[in-house]
Amino acid sequence: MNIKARDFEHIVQKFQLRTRNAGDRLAWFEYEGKVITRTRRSHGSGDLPFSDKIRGQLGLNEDEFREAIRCHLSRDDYIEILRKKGKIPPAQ
Amino acid sequence: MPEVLELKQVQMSRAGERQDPDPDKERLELYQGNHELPTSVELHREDFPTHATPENLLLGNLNHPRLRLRQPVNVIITRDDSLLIASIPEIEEFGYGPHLTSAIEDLRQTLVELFQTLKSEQSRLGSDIVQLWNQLQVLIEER
Repeated sequence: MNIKARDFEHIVQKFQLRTRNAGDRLAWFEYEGKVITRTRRSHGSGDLPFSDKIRGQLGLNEDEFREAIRCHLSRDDYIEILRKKGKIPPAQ
Repeated sequence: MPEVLELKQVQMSRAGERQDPDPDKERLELYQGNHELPTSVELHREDFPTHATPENLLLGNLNHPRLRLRQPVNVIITRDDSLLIASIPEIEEFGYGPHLTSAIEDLRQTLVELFQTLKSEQSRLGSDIVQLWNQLQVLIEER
């Protein structure tokens, strides 16, 4: 599935990704001071044709990615997904 | 005296459109120089690549003054709409551009930026990103 730059920005906002503008717009997810996932998109406002790469870098499957784009996933939901996938240590 | 062979494509219109009823085949007639015994040869389209862009290639260098590849890296080339994507699946990294050269150059810049970022953030990387950093150090070294 393809997404647009604004969908990417929804995810950035919802998951509270940190961002930095370099050659591309870089975004990474931090949890308890650790960098957990990272991705990037091109500057501009059009389609992002390599959306599957972004999805993979964020550690989401297609359904989860679709839900994220629809703004149905919160930061806490994302943390839970990453925890289930072993990317974040289990809660104490 | 050596035989002279000519390949002649048949059933083509003046506009260059194939008129063969079977679109997957192009029929060529192979003539011997004396034109005595024409022989038909059928070439199947699937025997040939459909475009010149390779499906994968070996990236040999980063073109960077301080970083270099320890060994050539296999890069997968895919097309997505009008862009070419050059990716290294093992580390889920990619570059893109309107043509192969720009996609490879973007991949190089991405690798350099990722290496430098992860190096500077080493102390606060999550487990997956630590793994990525380790993989990256297998691929890239400082000069």
